[in-house]
Amino acid sequence: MIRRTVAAVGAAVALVGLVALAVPSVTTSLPTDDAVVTVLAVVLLLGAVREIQRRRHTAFQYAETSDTELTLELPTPGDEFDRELSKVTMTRFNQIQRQHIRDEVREVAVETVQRRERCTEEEARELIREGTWTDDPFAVAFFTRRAPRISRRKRLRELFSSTPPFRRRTVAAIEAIHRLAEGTDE
Amino acid sequence: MTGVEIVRRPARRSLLVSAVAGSVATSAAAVGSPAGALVCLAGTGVLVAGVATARHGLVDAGGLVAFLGVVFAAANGATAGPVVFGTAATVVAWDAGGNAVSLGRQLGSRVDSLRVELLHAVAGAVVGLTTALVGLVLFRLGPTRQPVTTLFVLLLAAVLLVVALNR
Amino acid sequence: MSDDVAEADGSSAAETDGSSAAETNGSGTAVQDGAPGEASAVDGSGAAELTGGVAGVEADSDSDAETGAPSEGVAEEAASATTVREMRLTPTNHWVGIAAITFLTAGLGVMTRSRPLFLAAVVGVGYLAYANATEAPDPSLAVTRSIADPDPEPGDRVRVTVRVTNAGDAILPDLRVVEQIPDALAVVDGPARTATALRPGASVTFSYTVLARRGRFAFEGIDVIARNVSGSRERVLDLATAETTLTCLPPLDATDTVPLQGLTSPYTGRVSTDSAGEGVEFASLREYQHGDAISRIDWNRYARDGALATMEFREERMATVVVLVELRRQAYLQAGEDGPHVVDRSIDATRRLFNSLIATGDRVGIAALAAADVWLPPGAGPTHQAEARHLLATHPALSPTPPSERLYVPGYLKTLLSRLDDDAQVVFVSPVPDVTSAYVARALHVRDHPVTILSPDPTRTDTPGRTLAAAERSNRLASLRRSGIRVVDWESDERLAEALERARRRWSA
Repeated sequence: MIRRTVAAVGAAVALVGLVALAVPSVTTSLPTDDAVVTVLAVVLLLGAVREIQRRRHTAFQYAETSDTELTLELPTPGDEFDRELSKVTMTRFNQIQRQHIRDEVREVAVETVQRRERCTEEEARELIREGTWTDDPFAVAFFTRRAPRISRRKRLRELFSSTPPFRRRTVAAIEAIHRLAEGTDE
Repeated sequence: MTGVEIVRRPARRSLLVSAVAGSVATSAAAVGSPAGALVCLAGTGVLVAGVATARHGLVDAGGLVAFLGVVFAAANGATAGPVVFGTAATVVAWDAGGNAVSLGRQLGSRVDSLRVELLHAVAGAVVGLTTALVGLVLFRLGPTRQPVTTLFVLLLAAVLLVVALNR
Repeated sequence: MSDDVAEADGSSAAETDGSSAAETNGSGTAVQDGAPGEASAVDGSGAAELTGGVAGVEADSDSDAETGAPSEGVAEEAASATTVREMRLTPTNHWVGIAAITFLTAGLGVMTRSRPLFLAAVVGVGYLAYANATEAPDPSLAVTRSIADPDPEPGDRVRVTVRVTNAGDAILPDLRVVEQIPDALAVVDGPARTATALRPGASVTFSYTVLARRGRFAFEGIDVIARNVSGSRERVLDLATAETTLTCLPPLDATDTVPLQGLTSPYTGRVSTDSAGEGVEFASLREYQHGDAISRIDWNRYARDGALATMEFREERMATVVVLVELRRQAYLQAGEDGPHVVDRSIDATRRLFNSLIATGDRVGIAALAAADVWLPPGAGPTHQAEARHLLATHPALSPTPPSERLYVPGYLKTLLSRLDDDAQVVFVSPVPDVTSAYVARALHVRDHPVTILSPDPTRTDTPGRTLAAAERSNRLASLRRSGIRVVDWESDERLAEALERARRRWSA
């Protein structure tokens, strides 16, 4: 409703203006002093600002298309563990998550040691606690939670390496487990 | 194989349309004032960057700045022709830029969309040119020195129409 | 160019078109043809097939569309018709804020009394009117899709060509088309999309390449976005098109077999043969015991030595084997991002094992460890083989997409055990992704159904998590071996025959 009246008024005014182009005398009587002009200018500029704000706050609304060219990617075993590990190494104060990862890896370690050493589960856990199940000091340290027994030079190198220590030890432990598991074919 | 993922940005060729329109605006502004042309050029640069990175915000900002460049030139004594065509050119650049970004987001960079983009841009240019020409004709129709009041009245009419049509 | 644009499956009219010769480059370049009525034109080259029997038109390559049999045009129209599944009409907000031009120039113009600025305001009004003047068109489209090789081998690259025609009266100034590719297929060349402007009757053709994999895939839809010329309004449509299928399954008479030596031994099955000595083979003699059947006494020996001895026969019997393929959700795995899909390998192995076992004379059945019911009781003979091929080719559970239902394993085992013959052996094709698979294998083995596991390896060792999973699986397989179950660990880059040979050597060592 309002739109229509405004449009009608606008059309009428336009008509007057067009007439005034030909017959200038029609409009000479209108007030054109500075006050009126300034007020008009300010109103118009405010209108402009309002329009620009409106643009900034209106989101685009066109359709999003799907990624149809891609196919459903199936997981590979171990992907969730990798995600967990990335999360843990990126944050601090995450002892619970670290313990969880340690437990997960320990279970596989116990099973592997049991299989290779042909011992009981208790014995396997003992070997892991002692640190005698593998030669890799970092793998050992992963479970014993003590500093790895390595030369001072290597310790310095570890200090300056870019891999966070937890991740390095986790990876070492996993590699050691894998080597053990792939040992001799039974 | 998981398939080739599309890059959701406009193709390199799409930058041309906006760039060309922007340059037209810059040269129009240059007629009035070099400073205005510089501002217009900067605006065009931002606009084209927005198209290249598929960001609507940059395209809008660039368009506004380019337009302000033209306005600045107008305020500094540019004649009616360049101002009006410069304005139309900035709108065409902004319109083409926004369209290119939407095409890039929906279809990716490897689709040959130049034909569609040109059609869209040319349509916009035609509208701008037509209104510009109509305005110029009306401007020159009557005696060369119109009283300001007439122009005010016409202006008021224009504004009222805008308010009515705005959606 | 008969091989370039073959017929779409299910459409009886030919879809050969002179313009596709121009459209040879693949990465989404569109080819426009503007002649009205092009949609039903048939150029005479290559595999034109006419309904209505107007044979004379076929050879004439200059034939006008209208002189062809009218029924052919109708048939093609029917084949390319689309129905709208969903439609949305929205403003895009592309032109919001254009009024700022008018306000800005008007305000500044008033302040500086600059006439050029007043004129610039008029431009703003013009654009505003332009932005709100038109509505997004409602497209009426005909879509024809053709697959270069509708029956490829797994791993082949198959070209799909899509042609979209404006079958309505409205001009479509801004049409954006996105194909709906079946989920399990990947596009390896060219986006399956295009942008175009179409006059009524005009059409655009685009194509892309898909990597074939085992299964049957239906292309049945397309997404279309139509905008008005100013871009202010947009109509999004989900169109259903005529179904085109890509079938990548081994041919019906495939009999590729694998060496099975040792796979189902040392147990032979029991199928009672009839009496009267048919199909029986002399095995050994033993001392006569009171109560043995008179007919079994070896009278020749008695005549020779005077001792009574009873003959024992080993009845030549066929083994009963059920190939159980693992199709639980957990088994839908892939060995790395570029690795083979484990279920594809499993189903392929199932088919080949079935063929091989049947060929050696065993009675073979098929089952699947899945929520859906997959069961073909053991049998033999050509009819049975045909049934098996049909099952492997068409059963919906054997699909490349993971199931959504979970399997209740104890209930499943109960059903399976009730179906298995007492002496049935089981060949379990499974990647053994978790303890459940091991549990199933043991449960069957312990109830006197000897189990042999063929396990396609889903693991990789390129990241710590994956290495750990590989070690875990290795332990699981070792534990299964200790339980007396034979396990064939089938590596991802190994051929099945090699894996079986490797296992056989290990078993006989």
